Amino acid sequence: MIDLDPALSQWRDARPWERALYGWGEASAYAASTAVAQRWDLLNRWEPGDEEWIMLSDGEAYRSMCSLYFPLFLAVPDVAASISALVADPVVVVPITGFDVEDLRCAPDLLRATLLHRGWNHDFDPEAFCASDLFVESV
Amino acid sequence: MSSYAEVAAALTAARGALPDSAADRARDAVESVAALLAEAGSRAHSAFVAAVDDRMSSVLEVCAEVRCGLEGDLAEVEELRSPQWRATALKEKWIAERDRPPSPVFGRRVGPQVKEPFTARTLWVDKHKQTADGHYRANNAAQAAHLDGTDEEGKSVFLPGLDANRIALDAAQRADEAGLWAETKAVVEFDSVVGVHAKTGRPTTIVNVYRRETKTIHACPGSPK
Repeated sequence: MIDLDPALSQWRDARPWERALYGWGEASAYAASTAVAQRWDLLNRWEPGDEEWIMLSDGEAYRSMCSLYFPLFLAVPDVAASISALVADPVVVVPITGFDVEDLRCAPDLLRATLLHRGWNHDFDPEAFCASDLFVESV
Repeated sequence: MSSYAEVAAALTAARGALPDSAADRARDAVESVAALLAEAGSRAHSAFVAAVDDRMSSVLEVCAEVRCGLEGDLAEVEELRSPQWRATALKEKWIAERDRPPSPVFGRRVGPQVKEPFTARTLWVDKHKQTADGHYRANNAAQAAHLDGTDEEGKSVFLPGLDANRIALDAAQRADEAGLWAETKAVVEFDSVVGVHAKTGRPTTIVNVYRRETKTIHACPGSPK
């Protein structure tokens, strides 16, 4: 399992949907994602408005996702290894097995305090979920 | 002749808030008052004062009326600048146009329909109280953020009275049949307005539908065309 607690615990009380984190927002997230997309020839699947993650796809599957609220990337290993060098802002990068692999976990209270502050459906398990489900639940 | 002085002072004060046409009308009124003053020597003083007072009151009434209209117009313009106000106005208009919003009826399709004709599946409610069609189930928790009356800021919402679960399931079926899915998301057009897009404050006929590995789905109004 890939534990998100170490990456997220620093933002437990940040509540960036009320007031953006200093130095991070839509513009910086978009710039960072664009840099990654250009390097890996990925498609930007983000639609401004309701989506809290910028999803990068190779046309068949997601390869990386960047949070609008936190300087955080989840990405498959090869993309993840390059992100810190491509992005100007300091970001937290979490390498994941794949976007449909349910091997992510996070403490429920921390998940509710950060990435899914509106909660989640009854069939979403904080102890075993995949990155694409994290994106969908956040919309 | 304090009456004339009062008229002039009132007009001067009002002039800055009046449009040019109103200022011209006010100027004409002042000139006619001045003409009355010029004739003062040949007329009875009481008649003159009555005439001036009468003209002054009518001029002030015009000023007040125009100023009131201007303030109303300005307030309306200010309100129109706000996307949130536009969204509220759209909802109110929508409700006013129909005495009673349509109630969701299982098995029947009321409200906006998928733009391209298709045969919709039958819907029912499963044991988790989720609307389902045999292929997908509505994600009630995620859908709640996009319903009218939500306290979530920045979230696009469906028009009040629409069955968002039915719209989501229809959109997902249409996405299946037309191959519209791009990973977890599909964009489907409906034949009439479904809701208000939060980012732009504009009404939209576009529905974004999202699906999970467990085949639970939810939808939100997407960027207008």
